[in-house]
Amino acid sequence: MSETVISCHSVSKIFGPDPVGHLAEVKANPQASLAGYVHAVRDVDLEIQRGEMLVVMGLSGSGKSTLVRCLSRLVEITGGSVTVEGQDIATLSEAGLIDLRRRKMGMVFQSFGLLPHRTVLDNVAFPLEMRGQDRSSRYASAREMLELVGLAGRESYFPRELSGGQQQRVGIARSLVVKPDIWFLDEPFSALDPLIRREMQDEFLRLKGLLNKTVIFITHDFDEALRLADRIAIMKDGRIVQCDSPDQIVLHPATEYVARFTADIDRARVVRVGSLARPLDGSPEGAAWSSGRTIRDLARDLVADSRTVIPLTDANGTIIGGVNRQEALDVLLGDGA
Amino acid sequence: MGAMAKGKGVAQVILAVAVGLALSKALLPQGLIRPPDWLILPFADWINAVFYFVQNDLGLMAVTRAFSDVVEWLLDVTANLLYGKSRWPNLGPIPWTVIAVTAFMAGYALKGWRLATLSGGTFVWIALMGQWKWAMETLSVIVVATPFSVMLGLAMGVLAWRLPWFERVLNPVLNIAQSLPHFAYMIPVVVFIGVGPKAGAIVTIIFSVPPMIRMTILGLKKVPEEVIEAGKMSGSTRWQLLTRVRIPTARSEILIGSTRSSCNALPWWCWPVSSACRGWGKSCCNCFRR
Repeated sequence: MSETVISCHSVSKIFGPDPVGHLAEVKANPQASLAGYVHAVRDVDLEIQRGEMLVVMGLSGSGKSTLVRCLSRLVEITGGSVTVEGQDIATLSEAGLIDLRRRKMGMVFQSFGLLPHRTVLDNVAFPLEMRGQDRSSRYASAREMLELVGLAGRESYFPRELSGGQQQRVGIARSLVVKPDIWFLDEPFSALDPLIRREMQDEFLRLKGLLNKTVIFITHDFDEALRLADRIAIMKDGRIVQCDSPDQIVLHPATEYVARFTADIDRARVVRVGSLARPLDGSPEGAAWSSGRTIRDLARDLVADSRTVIPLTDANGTIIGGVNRQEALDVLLGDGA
Repeated sequence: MGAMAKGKGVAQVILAVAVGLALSKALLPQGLIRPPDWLILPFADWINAVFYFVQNDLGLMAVTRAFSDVVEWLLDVTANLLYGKSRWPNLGPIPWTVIAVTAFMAGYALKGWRLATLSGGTFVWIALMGQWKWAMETLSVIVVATPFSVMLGLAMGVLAWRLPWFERVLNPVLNIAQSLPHFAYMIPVVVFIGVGPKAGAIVTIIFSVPPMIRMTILGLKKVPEEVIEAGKMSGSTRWQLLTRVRIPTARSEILIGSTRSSCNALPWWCWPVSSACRGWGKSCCNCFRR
């Protein structure tokens, strides 16, 4: 069923005068000094499935932006390999790389990266212009994208005449205009104020539901990661310390560092009952619940119900197991788990 | 602290030597006061030798003359259009009213009534002051030299930004070009190009190109990294990235550069006279002669 779109195998990136030599040194002796070198990404292994939404979360300097740039070869990796749809991108020629970006990839940037001398319409049509598409067809596609992100009527504005949120909508429209399979977003909402950020997240979820793409989303905001992700990769000092679903990260943080992020999170909002499912001993008893709902959604039912084990169903209505009511109540009330 | 104390000590020794030399002037041999003739290097001869070698043996003359022929042809065209020199295309001179109205319309199209009044009004005023012919002679050089220096500056600026070693070589050359006395340009230009309006135009180009180069380099270096990455992710080739992302994004610096370039070109109307150019320079010189 699932198909790997991007896979990274022990990817490393070192910035400095002799990165390859330094990598060998670090491999031989992990404690080797880093004077003059920045080891931005260390030995990252990652598989991204088609249609998946992966959020890379980390504080600034954790290497998350560099990692994502390695995936599109905006940054050349020092060691390891990156494979996109079965093709090792390090072996691509310049023309092959350009072709890959033109057909398969779109990217949104933190500070938008819009061209200041072009109108909104020309900015959105830019990737199509690079492909050599004729003016009328590229404007038609660009208008369609602007409609999609809610900026119809602003075609002839210049980026400086728009608010931050609107500029990022232009950036999103531009990244989608080539209908890419893989969509990179590098802290797209970090430069926006909180209310607009919330609005843009909703907008993003709407677009994501509409388009069904493989999404790699970078953020330093743990709440944002929990809200949007299918899977979260938490990075620290260039390493991925945990890569798991939001439920699992909240319920079973792998390290002390991850636990610090999850400490203040209201788990009941994040954890879905399905992640507490256990195989049923006997036959299911009473009405089953959908496993995709969060504990918070089910709070009233949990308190009112009297069964010990409540059966759960997947999206197709098949029974997949049961949840221990006491365990779910523990998550809701914030103890145990 | 140590380095400072040491520097102070050295300074004191140097001061003591200088004071000693000054006090003992009467006792010193003549050769230490005025440099004797045998000490002076035959630098002029060396330079002449190099000059003749480059000029005659290397065939650089042929290159510079070919370039100057292109410039001269362009100058003839503008001279014909602006003040009716009898050269191809033999259309000129354009009536002063037409030029004034054109300037007015260009000003209006660019910025509105105020610029229109300024640009059109200036031409009318020049005509009323009886300076029309000289102004057009000067303008005919400027309209050739300015685009040339803007294009040359842009090309060299891009090259210097692309190749760090070229920038390192270019920087001292630009410093010299901007600080050398203006007449010093004349000598090599007259040797390699000859005299006349084309020499005037080329001296103007040499003098006005450095700011354009400098601002182009600055502008290209200041383009935000994310804009470039966005260009790359949009699937730009290197050439597309340069012409449609980097240069347009650096446009404000490049425009400042070209303005500075034209401003540097304008005062040259006074100099072309020494290369037998015509225009305001000549009229100015006539005033001195009186």
